[in-house]
Amino acid sequence: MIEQDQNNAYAWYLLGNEYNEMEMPSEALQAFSEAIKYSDEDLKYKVFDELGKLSQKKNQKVDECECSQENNIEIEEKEDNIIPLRLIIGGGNDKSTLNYNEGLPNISFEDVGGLENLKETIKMKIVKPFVNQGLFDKFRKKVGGGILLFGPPGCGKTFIARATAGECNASFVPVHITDILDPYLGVSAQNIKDIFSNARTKKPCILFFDEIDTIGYNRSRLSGEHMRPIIDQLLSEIEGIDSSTDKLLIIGATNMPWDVDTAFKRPGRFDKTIFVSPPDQGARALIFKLKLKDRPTDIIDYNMLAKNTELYSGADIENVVEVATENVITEILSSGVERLITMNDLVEAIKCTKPSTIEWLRTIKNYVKYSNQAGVYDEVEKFLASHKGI
Amino acid sequence: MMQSYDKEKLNELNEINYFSSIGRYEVALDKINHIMSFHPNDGYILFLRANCLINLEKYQDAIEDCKQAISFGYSADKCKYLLGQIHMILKRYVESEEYLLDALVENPNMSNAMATYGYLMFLTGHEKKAAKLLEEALKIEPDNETALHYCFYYHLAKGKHRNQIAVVEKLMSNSNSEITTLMKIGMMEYYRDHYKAASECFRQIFLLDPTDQKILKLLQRVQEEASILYFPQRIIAKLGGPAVIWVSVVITSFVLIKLNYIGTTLIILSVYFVLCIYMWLTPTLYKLFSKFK
Ligand SMILES: Nc1ncnc2c1ncn2[C@@H]1O[C@H](COP(=O)(O)OP(=O)(O)OP(=O)(O)O)[C@@H](O)[C@H]1O
Ligand SMILES: [Mg+2]
Repeated sequence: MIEQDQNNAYAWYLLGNEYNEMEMPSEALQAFSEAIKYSDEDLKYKVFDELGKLSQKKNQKVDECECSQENNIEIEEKEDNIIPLRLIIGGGNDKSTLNYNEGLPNISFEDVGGLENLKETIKMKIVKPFVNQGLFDKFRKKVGGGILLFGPPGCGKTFIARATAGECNASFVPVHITDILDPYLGVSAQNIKDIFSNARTKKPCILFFDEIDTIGYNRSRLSGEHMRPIIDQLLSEIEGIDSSTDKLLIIGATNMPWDVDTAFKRPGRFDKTIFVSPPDQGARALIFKLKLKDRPTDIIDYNMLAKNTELYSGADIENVVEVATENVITEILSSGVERLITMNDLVEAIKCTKPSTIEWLRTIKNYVKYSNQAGVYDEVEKFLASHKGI
Repeated sequence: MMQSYDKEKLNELNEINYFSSIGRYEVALDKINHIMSFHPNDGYILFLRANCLINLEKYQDAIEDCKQAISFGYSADKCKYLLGQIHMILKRYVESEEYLLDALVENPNMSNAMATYGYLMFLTGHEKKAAKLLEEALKIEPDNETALHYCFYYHLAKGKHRNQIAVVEKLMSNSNSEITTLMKIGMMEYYRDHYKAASECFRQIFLLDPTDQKILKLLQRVQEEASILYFPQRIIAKLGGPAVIWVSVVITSFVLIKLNYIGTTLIILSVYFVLCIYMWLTPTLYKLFSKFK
């Protein structure tokens, strides 16, 4: 059946079930991911269901083999109160449970309000090489190096990274420091290897390093040199990627760019740094529209809302909509009369909320002022120059 | 001390230590609170939480945790030492002394407790005792960071430059926190009136952690003091401060009037008057000046 029709989602789904029953989980996984690619909404849910069961099974197995290992642990204490843990016997990797995008709703650039420049950069640097792979092959151009997004909290760094995956139909694999850390150093290094080899089996794939500032040796702190081998492992994995053949791309995000290990920023690594600013007025109107899309509303003046929410982040706007909706529901519950969300509800909600980006912007303002580095933070400076009041 | 946790808890503890070590105490605290719901009576975890709380400047909660940690059997010397430190930060010197002495009774070779006790003695005016204790602490453990840290501040207060440099050199080869050493070099330069060098040190520290408001304030203050606008203030400070100047102006004027040099007296008085006004205006001038820049 598959041979007849490569794009038949239902066929892939059946095949996946078949593999599943034959206890061949990785084949099943592949079949299901094919199914997702071509399926409609209804079928997608079924596939997600099966995937859920599949990953549960996998976890159970991991648990079983772990229980059989006795872990004897010795805690070694040092004078400075930071207590390194050492694993004596045992080990075994339980980080096989990364959350893949399966199960998350798919989003694309359409769901992201504003950030037009950023979308353009991502299209040129990421989406095009993914789609026009042949062209890059022909010219023997190695596509490598990732982009590093930074900016105040809640302005859509994680969101746009996810949308990028949706835009080029790639899997999205978020990686967090806790996916890497293990009391046993050897296991940490192995975790990194596993993350990359796992991503390679899911190509096309975007590896997303969220809060990358927490990964690395921070020279300001007491963090021990013992993290160094892990970082080196990570760096060599990143450098080893040839995106055109691997169909594997990396994106990093942080709201503490000053804490990002400088080793990550060298060429061939996260060599393009992009500022994700708070949305401008036009973008704010769009985000309001997006967030109110599926709710019962009266006539709304989006421009007016945008005007009153200077420096609000996307997440802040989402919060405004939540607060307004909640108020309306409470009112309906007490009065028993159903009504729509009105302009007034939103304006009231704006009044009792504050932009959460200001503290970050003040910090970066001082940082830029004292760092005397030309170039790196140009975009930030431009933004600050047009918002004198910060 | 031997203690057993299952693999999952061990992972969490490792994460807690990691986040503490990179200075993300809020994240660490969240994780501690989570693990605590499974091990409510674990002295070690309480001790870890106390450590986080101190760094988040929640001293009262930290004290509670320390006391509980002792009652659940975690090493009393460590907890008491921590309690001594907290009380010293809170300027409760009597309690601090009690706890530090207790810690030293539990473990007489605890060099960091001894050094802290030494510095406490210095703060409360017992300089001889302080010097002896600090020396003793370094004898037990020559590279102990806490001991070196307090030694430095002792020498800084005593104005012994040679000793300061010796300590900083030792710290540089022993501490892997760049902030600690930069801070000391900055302070050293500051007290030798090398404002430019000091402000460069503080600038570097600030860039390592721009969220630190205290460093920012320090940096701004030093930069202000280093500015050319404060030149008269610096001269005056070198001559012994505004009070000395005032007294000498008054005396000179009296003497000159007695000797009938009225013109010169008037000139001196008006210069003094202008200087006073200038000094009063400098902060405002500085603000205008830096805005213009
Ligand atoms: N430009 C935007 N368009 C639409 N929604 C947005 C936008 N920016 C933010 N949001 C909304 O705000 C939420 C939070 O954004 P996101 O998690 O991407 O922020 P972030 O920049 O990663 O923040 P942090 O630095 O705290 O991780 C998203 O789930 C999304 O719903
Ligand atoms: Mg995020």
